[in-house]
Amino acid sequence: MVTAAPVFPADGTFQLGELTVACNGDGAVVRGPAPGGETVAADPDAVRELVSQDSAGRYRPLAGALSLPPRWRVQCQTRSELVTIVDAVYPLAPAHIEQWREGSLRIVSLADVLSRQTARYAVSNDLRPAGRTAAAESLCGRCVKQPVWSHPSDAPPADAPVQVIPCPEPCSVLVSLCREAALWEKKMPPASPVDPTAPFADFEAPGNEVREDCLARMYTNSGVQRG
Amino acid sequence: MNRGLLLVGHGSHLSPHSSAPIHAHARALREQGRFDEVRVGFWKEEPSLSRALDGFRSADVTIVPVFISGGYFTNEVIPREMRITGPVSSIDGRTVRYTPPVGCHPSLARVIVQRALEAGATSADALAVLGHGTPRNPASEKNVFEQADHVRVLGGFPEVTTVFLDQQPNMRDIFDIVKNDSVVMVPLFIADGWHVGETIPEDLSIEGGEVRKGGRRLRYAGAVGTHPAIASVIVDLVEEAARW
Repeated sequence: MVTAAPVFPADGTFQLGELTVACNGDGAVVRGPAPGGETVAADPDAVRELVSQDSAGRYRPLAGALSLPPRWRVQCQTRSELVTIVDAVYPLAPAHIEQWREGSLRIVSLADVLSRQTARYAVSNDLRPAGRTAAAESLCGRCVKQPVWSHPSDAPPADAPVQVIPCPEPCSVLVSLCREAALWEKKMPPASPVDPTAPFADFEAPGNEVREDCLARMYTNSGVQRG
Repeated sequence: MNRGLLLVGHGSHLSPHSSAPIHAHARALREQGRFDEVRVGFWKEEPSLSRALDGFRSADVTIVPVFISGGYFTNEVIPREMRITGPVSSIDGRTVRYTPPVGCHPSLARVIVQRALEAGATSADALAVLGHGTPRNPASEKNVFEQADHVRVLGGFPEVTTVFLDQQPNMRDIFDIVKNDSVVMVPLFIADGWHVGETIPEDLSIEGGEVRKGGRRLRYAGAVGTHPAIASVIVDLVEEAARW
């Protein structure tokens, strides 16, 4: 387990992504979006299972996606338990917050991540700068994490009341989107109406909300007429 | 010195079930209390392979790939993403040991036998080890044949054979391949996912865990990778790596 570092304040209430965390001495209450609802056991596996789907039952492969299911709470008895529960909702967030604040967080750029891809994902490195920006804006705009990989010189907030979860390296979902976007650059597909039931990371599916948003940005950037 | 264990798997952008066995094995190993830290990492889920070591405080971490075969992922993707340079690497000031995949360890044969027994196998049955296989990567079949060899050495079955989902010898020909009237097929897969849970039973017309044809019977076992005994295979790999 990640040890209970003094990464979270001892007392008071703060937001962490979509979570509301109320600390009270050794204990804490972690709430999902919207008040009320069920109390979930302070079991990281149970919490991970709970947050694996959004309110519509759609799988959440991007842990930071702004789609946590609403109305649930976890009563943590210890600081260690709090860190473990936050880690189950936002994997590595406690470690990355701590490392960012102490200046030891290793930051890797999108260029470095795309250039090391092979096989199916090698084509992602062909994506031009405007496409990379469009992909990052489309996906990262739907995520609670702050992509510090895009501005590595940004200083962490000192004792900020609202916690920031730093994202030190583009994730596999963004790499997957960049792959598709690189293919779209070669042959731009037509726009489709957004289908909110489309799997979140199925960027090959017309109607996927991230795909359509990214395509719209790419059309705008390239000046190409939409189909 | 604190010891950490990192189980790494493929994960999925589309299915919440792909990573379930790895989480289950991590939990079982945490409860054993053998390691100071047990964490997970995935190619397609979070924590990602490239960042999974960030969560450790241990100075010595062993990475065990929960994959059935060695190949592209274990030889190329995982080392590249995790900055592994060899069996023992120094990464961010800690010692990192990288073991062969779970599926390559000889003790996995015991789990294959266990799965067969749970599906009702007796000493009169043939045992068929079912691998995925792919014509695109001949190396992927190697481990399946080796595990069948290990099962033969353990004994207990008059006939042990190997079949594949996606290459020859093909699972659809199972009754032509085995001589016994009764055979138990054990899928050498990590998860009870799309193939194990859907396409294979459908392709073989399995209902209620078995299919009968001309007085002969095929029983179908659960995936090897979801068996709780995988945890002991992981421990074997870690203990061997500790001696490096």
